[in-house]
Amino acid sequence: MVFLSDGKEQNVGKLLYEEVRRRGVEATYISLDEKDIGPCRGCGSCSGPTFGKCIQNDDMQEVLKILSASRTWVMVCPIRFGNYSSRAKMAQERTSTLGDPRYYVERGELVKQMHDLDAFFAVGVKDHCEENEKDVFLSLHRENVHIMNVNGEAFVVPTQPDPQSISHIAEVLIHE
Amino acid sequence: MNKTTCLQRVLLLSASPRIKGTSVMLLERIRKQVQGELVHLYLEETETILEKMKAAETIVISGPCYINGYPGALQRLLEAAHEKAPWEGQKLYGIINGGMPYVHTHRSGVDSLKLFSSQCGFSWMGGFVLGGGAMLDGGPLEKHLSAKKVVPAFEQFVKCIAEGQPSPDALYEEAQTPPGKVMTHVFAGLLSFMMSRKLKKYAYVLKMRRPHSKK
Repeated sequence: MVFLSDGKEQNVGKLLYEEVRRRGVEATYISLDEKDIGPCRGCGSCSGPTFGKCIQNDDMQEVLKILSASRTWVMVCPIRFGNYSSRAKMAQERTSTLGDPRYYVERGELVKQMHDLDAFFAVGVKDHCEENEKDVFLSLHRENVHIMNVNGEAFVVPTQPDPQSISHIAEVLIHE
Repeated sequence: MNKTTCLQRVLLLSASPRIKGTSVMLLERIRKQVQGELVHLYLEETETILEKMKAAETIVISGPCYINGYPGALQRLLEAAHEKAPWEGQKLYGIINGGMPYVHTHRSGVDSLKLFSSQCGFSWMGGFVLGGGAMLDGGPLEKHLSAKKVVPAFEQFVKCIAEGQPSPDALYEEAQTPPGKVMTHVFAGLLSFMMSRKLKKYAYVLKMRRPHSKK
C-alpha cells in the first residue's frame, strides 16, 4: 500500500499511514510536498517511443517505481474546488505512464486499466466542506476508479479528524 | 453565425500542453466569433496570466481531460488565482474535452471550475463538455463522430459567450449520445489494435487479450 500525501496543510495522510502500519500492513508514505513533480506534458512518449516510461526527469521517476510495485494507492490531499490539490493532481496524471494502453469494456462502457493495481482510494481534507463540494470530490473519485477499472472508495475529512474516523478509513483500506 | 462585434475584453485560455490540439482548436473557433486574446497556460508565467485574467471581462478556459479533470497545471493556476480572491465578477466559461465518448467521464472538470468560480468571486456562465474530442487531434469539430449535433451545440455555446449569456448544461448533454453496446466493443477492439500496432513500431509487443476480458 502506498500513501501519496500532499501534507503541507494536513496530517491525515500520516495518521492513516501510521494506523495501517500499526495494524501490521506493509505501507510506504510518499510526501508529495517534499517532491519536485511537474505536470504531465502530454508528449505521448510513455504510450509510444518510451512505452511505460515517463521522459520527464524529476522526482516522479522515483515515485513511479514505488507505485508500480504496489497494488493499492491512497491519495490524501487538501480538497481544492472539489478536486485534488494541484500537487496531488500533477502526481496523479503522471501515473498514466503505468496504465495499460489498451481499451476495455466494463459495465457497458469503454474504460482503461492500470497495470497490476487493485484499488485507488482518495481522502480529501477540508474543514467545513460544503455538501456540493463533497459531492464533486466523491464523484471525481467514482469516475477515477471507473476509468482505471479498479476498486476503491473516497472519504472527506476535516484537518483534525477524530480517532474513530481514522480507524474506520484504515479498516476500509485494509479490507478492500 | 455573423461575426459578433467585440464589446468585451475576452481572454481565451488554453490549458493544454499541446499548442495545436483540440483545446486550442475550440478556442480558435470562438475567436472567429468573439475577438479575444488566446493565451497558452504552458507557455506563460502564472503572474502574467493572472494579470490578463484581471484585465479581462470574460474568460474562457479550454483544456483536455486528464483522468477525469483538467490538467494539474490548470489546478495550480486556479489555486494561485484563489489566493488573489475576491475577484471582480469576471464571467467564466469552461470547456473540457477528452477521449472517452461520455460526458460523465469529463464533467468533474467543469464542476470543479464552477466551484472555483463561486469560491473566488467569478461569475460562472456555463461549461461545454466534449466527449470523443481527443480523436479530433486538433482537427475540425466537423469531424467529430456526433458532428451533426455537436457542431450546432458548440455554435450555440459560442453565441452565449458572444452575448454574455449563461450557457445551459443541456446544450452539450443533449448533443452527445454514448455509443451502443456493439459499437462499444468495436471501439475497444479497434482502439486496442491501433495502440498495439503503434507500439509494435517501437518494438514493444503487447500480449493482446480480448478487449472486454476481465482482469
